Amino acid sequence: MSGTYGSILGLVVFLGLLFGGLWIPFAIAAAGMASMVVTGGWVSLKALGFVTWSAMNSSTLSAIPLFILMADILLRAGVSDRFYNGLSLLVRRLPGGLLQTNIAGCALFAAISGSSVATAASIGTVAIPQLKAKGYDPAMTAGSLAAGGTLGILIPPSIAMIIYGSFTEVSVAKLFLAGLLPGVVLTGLFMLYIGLRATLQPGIAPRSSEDRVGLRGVIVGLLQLLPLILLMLLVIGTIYAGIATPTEAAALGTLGALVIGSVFGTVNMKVLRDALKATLKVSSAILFITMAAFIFAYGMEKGGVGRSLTEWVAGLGLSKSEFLVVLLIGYALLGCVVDSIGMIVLTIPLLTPILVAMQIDLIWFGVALVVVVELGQITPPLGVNLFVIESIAKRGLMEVIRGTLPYHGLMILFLLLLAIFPEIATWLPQQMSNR
Amino acid sequence: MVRFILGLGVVLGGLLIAALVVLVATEVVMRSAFNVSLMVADEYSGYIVVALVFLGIPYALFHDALLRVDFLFERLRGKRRVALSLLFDLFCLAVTGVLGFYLTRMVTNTFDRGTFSSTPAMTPLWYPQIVMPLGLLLTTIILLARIVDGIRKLSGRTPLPESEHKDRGAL
Repeated sequence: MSGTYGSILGLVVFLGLLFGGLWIPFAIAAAGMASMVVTGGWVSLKALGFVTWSAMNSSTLSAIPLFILMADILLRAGVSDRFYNGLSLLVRRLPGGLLQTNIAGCALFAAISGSSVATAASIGTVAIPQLKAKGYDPAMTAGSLAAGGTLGILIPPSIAMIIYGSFTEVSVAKLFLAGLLPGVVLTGLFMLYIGLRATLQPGIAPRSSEDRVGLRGVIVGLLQLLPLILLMLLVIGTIYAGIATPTEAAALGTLGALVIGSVFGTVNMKVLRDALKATLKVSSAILFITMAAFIFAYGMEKGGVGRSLTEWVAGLGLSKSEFLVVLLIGYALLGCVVDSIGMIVLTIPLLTPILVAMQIDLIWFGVALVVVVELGQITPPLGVNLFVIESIAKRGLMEVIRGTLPYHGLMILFLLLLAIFPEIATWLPQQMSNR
Repeated sequence: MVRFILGLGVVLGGLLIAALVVLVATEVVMRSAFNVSLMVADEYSGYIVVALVFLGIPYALFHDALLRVDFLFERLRGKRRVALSLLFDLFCLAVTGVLGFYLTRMVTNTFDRGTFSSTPAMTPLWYPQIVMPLGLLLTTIILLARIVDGIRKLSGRTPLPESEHKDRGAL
């Protein structure tokens, strides 16, 4: 049997197991192994040792547990309330009030967290009771938090980008910087939308006397936010200045989070122990998928799938933009059935040679990919952020889905902007390399 | 007993994460303030990642924290669900077995040849590599415990559980 057929067989078995509900990393690893055996016989499995060892023995990937730990410490120390309230003093004057605070809060938390789930959960826990008490529209509340949370993987740090970088060998530092401006623009789009909705339908965000914040309030708000902003600057600033690699910035950030947590919240042995345990659990679940995907990618490569796929796409004679449109639609559909990490690790090893052949900038593509993954995170039936917010708000999934619907449009609009003005993503990383 | 070994792995994993923070932070401070490098930070942080994954897999498995596409699986109730889960556990056992076999072979090779890392530290590579088969051994034990539990539920010796909570995503 030729290698390609073997790999296709592997792919079919794999999809069956995956949708049946087998743990994703085991399904991915099994598919890779099956492809190796079919292509090169049992003896080819000897490569497993080397493949897994060299995939995981990576200081780049060590940034993942560090960034998870940093956000987890802040969350457990109980400082989110303080920051949310500080931020609300600054932005609640805008039409939409606390809804605007939700988006801005998610964007700010995204700058210290590499995960969408953590972002949505930490802001959601603080925000939902407050907005509920003040009579905000529940669907709008849920939508702003579920969609705002996805900023977690666009605004650096981003676990999605670390994984993308480890497969494409693109600098994670550059990917982080590439996500910064798009993150700001997308945040702006979200806030603009909320502002318009609130102006047209004042009922969704009832105004109160608290919304009129004076100069004094603004200063108090800024002071309350200052520690978080310093932490953000510490992490992103050291990467931009070339002082620290993303891994090193994550370690500095973790120490920073410990300081902030001890000063403004509670950090004791229990908090530390729980944070380390949670970090071990979450990061090994992510890294296990990554490791399995390296086995999968090795199996696919041995079977020549990457090469045949590249030749096939080249034979189609699509233009660059046609190819991208097809690809992004494909991703949007994939996002309905595969979770976010799975989406990245299953496609990128196969796609990278095609992207290079079509002269698509890998940094730009990384940003576009993350936006598509974000879209998947708010699309049923697998959109994680929908479930996170539903589990906090407890008002039914339909309401969350209804609330996030407009954000799909905004994200697609943003992808268009990104295609027309690629500089939104590529400008900042270029500044870094020019110095 | 299983819980004890698992707990040991968790403590070790947690300590390794803490060590990672200290190691990497020390390196960047030393380098930018005194222009001195520890020379080992990059190398050891890679080893720590390897150890974390393999110590974390059994722990995540034990807490059902690994990810799955669950829209079909969640529809199943009662014995059907237990049966499918049992089938998957057996499958995972096979995958773990194959992976464990080849990783053990790699480590014994490294040990026999006395391979060192090509860095100033010249670490004997079987030190960081030994965690891989050990972690998979622990994974095997957890899977066996799950399989025994599944069989007991199917044969009616243990009552079927109520629908329980799950982690849906990590990113």
